[in-house]
Amino acid sequence: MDQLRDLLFEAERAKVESLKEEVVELEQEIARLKEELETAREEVIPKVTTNMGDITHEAVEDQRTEMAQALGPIIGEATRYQIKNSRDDMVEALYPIVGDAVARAVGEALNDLRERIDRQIRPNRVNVEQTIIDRMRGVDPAELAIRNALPFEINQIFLIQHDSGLVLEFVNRDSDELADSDLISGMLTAIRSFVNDSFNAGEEPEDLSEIQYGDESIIIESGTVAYIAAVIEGSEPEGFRTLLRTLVNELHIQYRQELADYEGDKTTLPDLITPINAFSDDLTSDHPPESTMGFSNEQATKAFRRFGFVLLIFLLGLCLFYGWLTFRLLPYAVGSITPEPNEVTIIITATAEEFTPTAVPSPTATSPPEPTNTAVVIIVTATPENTPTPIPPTATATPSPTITPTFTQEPNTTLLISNPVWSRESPDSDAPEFIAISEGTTVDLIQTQDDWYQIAWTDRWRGDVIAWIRTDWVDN
Amino acid sequence: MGKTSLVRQFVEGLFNDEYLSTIGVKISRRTVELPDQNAKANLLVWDLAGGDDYSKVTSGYLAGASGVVMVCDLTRKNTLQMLEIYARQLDKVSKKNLPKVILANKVDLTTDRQITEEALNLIGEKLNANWFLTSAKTGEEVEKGFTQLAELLI
Repeated sequence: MDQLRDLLFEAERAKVESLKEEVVELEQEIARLKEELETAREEVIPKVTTNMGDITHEAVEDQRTEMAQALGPIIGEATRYQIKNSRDDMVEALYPIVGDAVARAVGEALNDLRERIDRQIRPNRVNVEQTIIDRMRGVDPAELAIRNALPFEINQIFLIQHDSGLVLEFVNRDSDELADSDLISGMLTAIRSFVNDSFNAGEEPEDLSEIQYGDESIIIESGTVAYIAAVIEGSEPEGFRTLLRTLVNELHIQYRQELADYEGDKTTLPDLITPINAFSDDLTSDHPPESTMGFSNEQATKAFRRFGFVLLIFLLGLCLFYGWLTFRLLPYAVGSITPEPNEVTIIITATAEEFTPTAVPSPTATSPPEPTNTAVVIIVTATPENTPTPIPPTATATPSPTITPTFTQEPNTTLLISNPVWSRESPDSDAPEFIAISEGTTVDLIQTQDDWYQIAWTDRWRGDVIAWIRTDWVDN
Repeated sequence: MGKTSLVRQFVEGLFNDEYLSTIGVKISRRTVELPDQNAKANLLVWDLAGGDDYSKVTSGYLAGASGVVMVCDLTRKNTLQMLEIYARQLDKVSKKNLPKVILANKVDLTTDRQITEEALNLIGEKLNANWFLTSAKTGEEVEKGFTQLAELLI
């Protein structure tokens, strides 16, 4: 059997042996190559990487979509896996990239904010005026400056027919091209209808007024046949909705029928773009309209100007009054001037031998002005020999309405005016005021007539003058 | 019934179909040339969700319609009867008598057909609307149906 086997399988056996030898040789070759690879690893990797890079780059360029489709799921899955299992490593790896990007974005935003604030607080007439108005409203100017500096942009404005959702007018102020405005306005209309039907069923219909997404909002103001949807970005300025509402109302007042009859033929529509553009231009200018407590900025400014004008007139009047008063009181020069003094001290010096001071009539009830709280001291001294006995002041002097006019020639008597007093041209209270006699002036008593003294003295401006002063200013 | 497929077959710009299942409407557009009238019609197509259940249709979506494309399924007889109900409901919401066309869809499924041309004639007369045998799958008569509605609107 063995011989037979040898005869039958000799060739195969030889082949097996040969193959075994080849395998051994190949194993040795592989081992050698492995060894070579290990030793030449540093040289091989750059070569392979370069080639792989070129191949990959070529493949990506030629078959971008296919590559994205092929690699997307793998990369996505790998990223998710990596984030899940090595969160800290991923954070560390991404931080230099993401951190820089975030820092740059925040820095740019802050710069923008700073520039806006600088622009707001840069002194100019409008700002000063505005600051005063805001102060009057109780608004802190710094807070207001920051508030006004917050970014605000109107990206798009749609004027849309109510039920049909047809675009009556569309203004795109954004640099980016917008998707089909007809479709957007249709979807907006659908969303409004959906909200109304879903949430206001059986109730008074209330319009959807705002849709927010990210930094942008769609502000909606509705009229009877059309509504405006303004796509805005950033912080909506105060009073914006009121102005939007006003725009809708104005468009309805002017073009209601045209807006209602519109069926898609643009030639039937009036010029709607001008008022809409004017509205958005006004709002996005450097000084956006503000309103507080229902007043627009323009109204507040007008009110402020009116108030300022009235205040100016008042101050001017005050100045004129004080000017006039100063001019009238100029002769007094010092002290508080009272044309009709309440308190006068007259020192009378009599030099006549026979001097009988005339009783000083008390003020009558009918003779203006009526001195009040009169506390006058009269010191009478007679030189050289005779000392006239002064008539003691009667504290309770009774007014004598029927006093008989008397005239007394005064003998060389001088009076020392202790407080400023107005003199008159004639012995009459209604007579024009003549000259104010300042405190410390010595006057000569010429005569006494009724309740008036006629006096003479030398005025610093007019020289020698003669005038009258009331005796009741010299009450007892 | 294949409404959405028909619309997709016809229009050129459209929103994602997801809107249909979220707010119940999807809006698309198509500009149609009308050589006979020497005009162009810009059709905004509101594809309403709701299917056989009219109550699911938001009535506000119908209020501003200028014309209506009504779709029935040739392989389901009851969809033809539904057209009458839809038409009545539409008349309640709409302020005017709207031009209509009927698209009898799935004409390609000849073996499953349950609605005859006589039945279509009958409903067409009742609703004062022309009908077209369409296939969203092959596009057959779809263009023609929408174009006729556009002609009626001009």
